[in-house]
Amino acid sequence: MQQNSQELESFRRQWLKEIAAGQTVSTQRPRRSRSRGAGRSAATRAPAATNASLAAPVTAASGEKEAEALAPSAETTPAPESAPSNHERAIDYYLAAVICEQEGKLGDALVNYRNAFKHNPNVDVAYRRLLQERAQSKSKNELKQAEIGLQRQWQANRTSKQHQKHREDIPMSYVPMGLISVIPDEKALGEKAFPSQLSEVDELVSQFGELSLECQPLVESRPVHINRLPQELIVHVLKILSVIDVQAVGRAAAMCRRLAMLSRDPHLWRFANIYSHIHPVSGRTLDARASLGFGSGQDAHLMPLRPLTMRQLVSELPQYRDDWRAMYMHRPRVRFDGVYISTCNYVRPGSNDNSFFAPVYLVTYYRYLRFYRDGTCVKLLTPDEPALVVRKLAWDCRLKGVQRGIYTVGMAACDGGADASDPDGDPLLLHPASLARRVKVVVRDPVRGAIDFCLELSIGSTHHGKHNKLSWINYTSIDGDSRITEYDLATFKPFYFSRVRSYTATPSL
Amino acid sequence: MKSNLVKLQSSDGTILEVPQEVIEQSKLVKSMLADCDGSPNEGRCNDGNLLARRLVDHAIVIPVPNVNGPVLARVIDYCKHHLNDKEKRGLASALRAASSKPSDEEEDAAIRETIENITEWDQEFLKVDQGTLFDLILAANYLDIQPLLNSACYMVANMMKGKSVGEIRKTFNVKCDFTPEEEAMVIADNQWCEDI
Repeated sequence: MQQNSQELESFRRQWLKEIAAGQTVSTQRPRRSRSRGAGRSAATRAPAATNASLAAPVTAASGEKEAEALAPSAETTPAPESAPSNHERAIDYYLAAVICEQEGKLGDALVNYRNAFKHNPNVDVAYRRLLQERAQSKSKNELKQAEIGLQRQWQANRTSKQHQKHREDIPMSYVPMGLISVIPDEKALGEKAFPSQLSEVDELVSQFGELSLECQPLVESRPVHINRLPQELIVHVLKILSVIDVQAVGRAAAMCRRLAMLSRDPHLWRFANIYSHIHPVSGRTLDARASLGFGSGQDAHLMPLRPLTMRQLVSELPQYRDDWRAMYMHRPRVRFDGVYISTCNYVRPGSNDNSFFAPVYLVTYYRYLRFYRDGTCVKLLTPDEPALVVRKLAWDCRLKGVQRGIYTVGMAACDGGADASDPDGDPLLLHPASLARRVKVVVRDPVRGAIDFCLELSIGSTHHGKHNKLSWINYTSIDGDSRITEYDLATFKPFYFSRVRSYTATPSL
Repeated sequence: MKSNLVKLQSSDGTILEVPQEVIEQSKLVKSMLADCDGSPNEGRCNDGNLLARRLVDHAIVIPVPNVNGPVLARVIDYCKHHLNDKEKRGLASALRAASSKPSDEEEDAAIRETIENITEWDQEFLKVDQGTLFDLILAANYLDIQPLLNSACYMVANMMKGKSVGEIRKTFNVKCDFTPEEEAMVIADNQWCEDI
């Protein structure tokens, strides 16, 4: 404790120096430099606090005195001659309050919080920003410290909230670093693809991990069976859930704190990634490949893309902050729990001799595309509406005109095949990141015999969600005599994904 | 050798006799039996007949302290039904072996295989009350019977499938223990799941 107040004192001195140095510069500058100073103090204080709390069991008796000693010192220290700004004083009080809280001296903490908010109503935001600045600019080691500091902070938060329950008269604004103020932050972070620092939720959840969590019963008289499962078994259940209904994983996360924590388990999302991106070969795949004449020296045109390997997948992980969950969210993939539909309309002039007006027919037809995990797919071109088709569409269905084949999602075509088949492709699509979203489908027309169709598509997103659109890159057919026909894509509409519940109702894939 | 019986003692003291090849679907029991077989204390550890005699004489009782009698009986039912699965899946596993999967993928592959191969019999077998289902999961986990574990977990996952948060809570009798702010954060954080 002695050490703490000495530290506090030294920071104050440092601030004074910085203020003196900054006074000649514009008004905006000194505030910034002060913020930095405060940030430093926050971060260095955090480990100190950790030490204190670690030592707490040993010096339980002295801990109380420490906190008592600190609180008044924090109140009295703003030296009159130095006249630090309200901002600094607020931060000062705030820090003292945090430490008091950690020591369990909630009364003193409240006094300090109250003082902090008197000096600066937004001190919680300011304090948060300091820590964030700190976290962004400093090395990994220090980041960790800041993180610890933040975690402590969350803990502090919780305690104060519990406290608040007992004392309803405390106005909301005194809740130190309310989650309310954090939510807009979170939204701002969400707009960046991969925030470089830990998000608020990460912190919140990591704090759940520190608590010993148990699900509370909804109906007291009934048992909570799920509490009997250890963590790894719940993760196991969630893995399976991610296959049959990944949306439900998100909803299960909102069930309770324990599930919120477990739903972010890296093993779960690693599994989900492998499930989505690595396509194991089945007997059906081999049959389909053989019937399309793969394996023998075939046309470069039909050459599949190079399939993704586990090693490649792992090597991409750093792009996603080493977070499997982020990878699952952002890495392009094809989906198996529904169908991709491309709707085309065209107008056909009708003939009607009796009328003055020339009637036209609006003709709508659909292309359906369903992918299977083993690298096979079915495609159907039909005027029948989705309601009639999607539930029936399957590998072994009897729908007329179903084309069966294989697909690959990949980086680049084997042996430079991409260049051959895509001479005038959009240069953007040749960018490595874009190639990862390329899907190549080869299907055989059962009616016209030896004609194979080759679709090259690019996985994209819409405002409805991610990875739910397949745009056309290239569409060709090749007949028995290796004659290649390329189709004009002008009238082709992209495929959009629709979930079909029945596809995952039976677990067979 | 084929029809050797193994005695299992459940947590409540019930002793159940099971053919060895049935209960060897439990990797735990299998390795225990293998250990007995090769136990240095026995001296003539390589003598297969010794093991056979000891088992027939019921000299060995394998304690299963985490599983109670009725649940253990159900587990044995499951094992009996799945006794001949290995031959059925021979082709599939041969294929998998050919595709040379890294060893650390094995568990994930096993999950996938179970999801893909869960039968109607399994689903009927596992249509039990939640307490029993969780008992079976714990038993399968303890005894290390992966197919049963995966099938039972599949049934639990199925209870969450397509349900709203409220319905999931109701299903598992779990109260929301978030503060309103926390709940809003967690929901926002998982919004992407709904958006896809």
